[in-house]
Amino acid sequence: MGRGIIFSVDVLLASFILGSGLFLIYYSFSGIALGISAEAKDAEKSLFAVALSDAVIKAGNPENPAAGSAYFDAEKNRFMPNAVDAGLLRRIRERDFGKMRLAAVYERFPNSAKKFFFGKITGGCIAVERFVVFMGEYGGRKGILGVVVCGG
Amino acid sequence: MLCVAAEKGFFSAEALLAFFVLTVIVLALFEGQREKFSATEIIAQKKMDDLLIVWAMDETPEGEMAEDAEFFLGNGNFSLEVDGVKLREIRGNGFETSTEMRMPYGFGARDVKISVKKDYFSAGLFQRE
Repeated sequence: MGRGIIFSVDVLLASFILGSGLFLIYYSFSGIALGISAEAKDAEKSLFAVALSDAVIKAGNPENPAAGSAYFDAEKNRFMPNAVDAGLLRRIRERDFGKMRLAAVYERFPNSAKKFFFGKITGGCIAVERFVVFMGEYGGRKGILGVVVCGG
Repeated sequence: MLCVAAEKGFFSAEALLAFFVLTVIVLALFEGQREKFSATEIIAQKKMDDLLIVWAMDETPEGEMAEDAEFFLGNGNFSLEVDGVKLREIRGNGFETSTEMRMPYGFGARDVKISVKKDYFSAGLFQRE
């Protein structure tokens, strides 16, 4: 059998294995990159939800309750962190923050039922729940407040 | 066109095998070393802080603390310790994160320590809707 000038079986085999190796590297790295991208998006959304829930329960802003619904203690002359004014919570409306939006605020009960102060939950949302004291007409009842952020 | 490999080729089976093994090792190391980017730790800390703040507000008794934490974090997902006495323990294994605080109670003080599972899917640290 005459020998070829350019191709040989071992070069063919080697090319096939090399190609498979390169494809494996590409496939793995693209998978890792996609994973990192998804994690970053998820983390961005949850960090935003945490920051928003922090503002709602720790700051006071009666003109804009989405930026602060903390209860104002007239005796101490300050807003109480983790004590929320139920009246202010009811005044919060859906708010757009560009890529993300505040979609809903709810209270979760021990039987897992949710009572929404406003909005509803749709797909692609993250809810961060905080432990608070509901003041106002609720009269200082401990409970769970959920802040729902969608989009991203 | 094709020939029997009577002479040594440009590539060798050993070199290819070495290349393949090296590729797998590099990928495994890269994936293993990569720190998962998540907000779980921050959310867990915030939730524990919430409990401590609310308990400090009304000087909550130990029994009620355990009930509050069970309602908020879910039974078995946290451990609670007051003045060194363990009231609740985490069930099963999992990465944990903890926080503690010396709380002023009337004329005394109490050391309260909470630990929670960082795995938010089982601990309910936050929900995907």
